[in-house]
Amino acid sequence: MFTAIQAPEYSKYNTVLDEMFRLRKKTFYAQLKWNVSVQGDYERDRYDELNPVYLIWCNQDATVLYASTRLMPTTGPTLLYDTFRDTFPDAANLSAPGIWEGTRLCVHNENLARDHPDVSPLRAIGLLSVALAECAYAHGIDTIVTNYEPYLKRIYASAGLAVEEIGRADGYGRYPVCCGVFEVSETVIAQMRAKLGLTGPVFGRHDQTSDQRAA
Amino acid sequence: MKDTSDRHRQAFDAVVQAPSVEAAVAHLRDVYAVDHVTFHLANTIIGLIDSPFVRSTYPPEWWARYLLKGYVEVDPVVAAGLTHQLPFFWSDLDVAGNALVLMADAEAHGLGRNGYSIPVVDKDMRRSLLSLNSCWSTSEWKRYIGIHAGELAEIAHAMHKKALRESGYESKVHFTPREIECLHWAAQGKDAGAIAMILMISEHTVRGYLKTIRYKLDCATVTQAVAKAISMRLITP
Repeated sequence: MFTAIQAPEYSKYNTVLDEMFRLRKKTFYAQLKWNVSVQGDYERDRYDELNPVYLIWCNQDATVLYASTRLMPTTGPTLLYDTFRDTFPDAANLSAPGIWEGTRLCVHNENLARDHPDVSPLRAIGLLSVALAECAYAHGIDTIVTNYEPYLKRIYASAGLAVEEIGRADGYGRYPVCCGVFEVSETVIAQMRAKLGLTGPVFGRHDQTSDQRAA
Repeated sequence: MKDTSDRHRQAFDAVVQAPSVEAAVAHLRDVYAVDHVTFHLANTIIGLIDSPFVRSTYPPEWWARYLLKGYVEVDPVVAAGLTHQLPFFWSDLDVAGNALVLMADAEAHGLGRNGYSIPVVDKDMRRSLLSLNSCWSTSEWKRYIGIHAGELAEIAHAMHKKALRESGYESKVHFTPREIECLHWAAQGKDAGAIAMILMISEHTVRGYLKTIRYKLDCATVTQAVAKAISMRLITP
């Protein structure tokens, strides 16, 4: 299921959130070598203390994690604003109601391969992006600002998502880190579903991950 | 991103121009034709409301009872509002224990059973909560809010700034070069599409900048923001 976890539910989803923080360390610290703060087995920063929304793809019992990302309103403190405002002020300063920040998007390759052998990691990123757009749209959000490594832009594009790069910085990891912005609307969601061969929403539903065109 | 509707502009202007937050909640109730509007400002990010700043259109009898019974301690809307980031429908909250008593009592006092609340957080981590209350059916209510969710989020933030000013906080605004550029072209009469062509970025991103500018200047429309920017000498016409 794709679900949005907010502070009052953190304890209920303890198992997958624990797995998420471990996955973030593995992805951003160990693999991408980003300059992120590590606490034991976790990658966890001060924004995780501010009750962010975690958008999660996990199994029905919420015991196995497949993919996750973190969502915060840009009117409040955000990672991109604090970290990148000197490097790319135009991007970091996008701050208004309805504009939210999505960061730390990652996929648990092993769990995915075991439980969803038909879903590639790239498709998982696409599915999580659709869920993100659907969740955002349902809550009156029209714009997402996000950071990513350059190659991800192609993956987003293959999922029907046009991310506009509005800044790029070196020195955070092995590759430059881009800051981009994308629109959330009915049109965008329809485009994404079409590209991924989905016939309906993924967010808030039980598993609907396969390409319906193949069936 | 749709253009600002007339209703939205009317509500936004009413909130910004109202003499007080108390007057603003009443205007908002009238413009959006809901039963009640309540605004809470909390200074802390989690849990405790030390000295609550609350303005509401609820009948005074109900409000007195709410305070007397200590309902704020058990109110599931307040609890959720201070810990959630996303806006929420009251019908989607888990209600149990003392909260059930509160909800039943509220209905007995003529309050609608449906509501929608928008949490607000600013860069200094001050939080507030704007809540709308209605006696409509859940499905009608969700449909109505679905149409206006984006506008209501802007209004909630305008209300937040108004309450902060009323509490004696003044916030400074700072503009990036790109925002000044957008303002400059908007002042020349260019719309988002034309500005996008000039700056060679997408129209949606331009709209994001224009929205940020409107938010910083507390304006419902770009035209108002341009006028304000000129009067503040941020740009010259």
